Amino acid sequence: MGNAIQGIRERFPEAIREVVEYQGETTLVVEPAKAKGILKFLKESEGFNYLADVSSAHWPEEGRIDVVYLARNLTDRRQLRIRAALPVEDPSIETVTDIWRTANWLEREVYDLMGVAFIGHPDLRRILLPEDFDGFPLRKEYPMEGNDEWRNFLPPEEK
Amino acid sequence: MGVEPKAPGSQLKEALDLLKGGVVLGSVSAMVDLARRNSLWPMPFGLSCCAIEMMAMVASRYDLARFGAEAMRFTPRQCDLMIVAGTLTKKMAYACRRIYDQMPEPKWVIAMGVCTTTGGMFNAYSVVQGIDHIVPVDVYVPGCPPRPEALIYAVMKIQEKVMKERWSPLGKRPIHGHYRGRDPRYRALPLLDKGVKTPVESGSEDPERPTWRKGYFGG
Repeated sequence: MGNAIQGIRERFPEAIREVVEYQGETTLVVEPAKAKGILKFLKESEGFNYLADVSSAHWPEEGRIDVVYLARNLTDRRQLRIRAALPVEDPSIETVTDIWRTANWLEREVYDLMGVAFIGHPDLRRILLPEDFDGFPLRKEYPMEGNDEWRNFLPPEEK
Repeated sequence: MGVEPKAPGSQLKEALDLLKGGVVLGSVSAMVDLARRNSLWPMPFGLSCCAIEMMAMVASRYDLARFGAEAMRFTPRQCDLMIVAGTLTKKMAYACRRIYDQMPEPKWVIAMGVCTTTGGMFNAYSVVQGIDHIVPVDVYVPGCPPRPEALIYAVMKIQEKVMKERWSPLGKRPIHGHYRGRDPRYRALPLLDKGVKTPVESGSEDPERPTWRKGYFGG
């Protein structure tokens, strides 16, 4: 794993904010603007040929939304977690669809539930929820109780 | 021998003594309750893994037929006990309420498992946080999922409740289940409430319950 991180440091100086090692898993916290370049480097030079998942997390106190990429090298069984922190006011990041084609639906899911805009995505639509769904339900401000929790589940004639 | 022959007509007199004080009317009421208690027809509203335990309860090992409630029917028109077993999503809530409304009176509801009673671990935007937002609930069963014995105990609790119904050919039957749909704090589905005709109250024990019923038939 050290080689990959060293390679990133050489090509993208100042791009890695933090390296977290926990339970044998490595997480890189990177600059959002450099995330795509780093992922492309991992795919093309380090053999991370499989994107296992794209997920996200909302931290309302810190005002940020994390986008998390799980890149995996299937030949020598390495996995790297890349995390990019986006401001909650304007969460947007470049798409990685052109690096891994599977990112298409994964990014649509993150957009659907968390409202992260992926710049350059070929088809950024909701993938799980209905098209007229109001809001992004995995954000912490989405109402969980009271009358408002039902606003997206009303019968069609009441909308 | 040695037994004194009874005077003619004394047995009839004893029987008439028993009938004093409106015992006959009370007995009909008790007999209706008794018949209902031992012939519950459950509506299996199986939504997820709890439904498997519900099936186990009906099958031979746990054998709900011992309690007279084995006749599961998959149409609400023929049922009087709805067993909601599993995670109720908000999309499914409408179906749940409609099926409850389609069941003929009298009817009871068992909320089986923590998902059904409170939403359980699914504290999520898509899951109803307790079906008492949608329908009145008579008995809550904890567990994830509850064992079949626990559900049998819930059916027995329903049977106890049935024996307290005090059937009357004239009276309107109040629904005693716990229901939060009318509570302004939890007014979750005002739209579902529109068509409700039954008087739904979160009632409790009737203090006016006649004394002759106490300790009778386990009531």
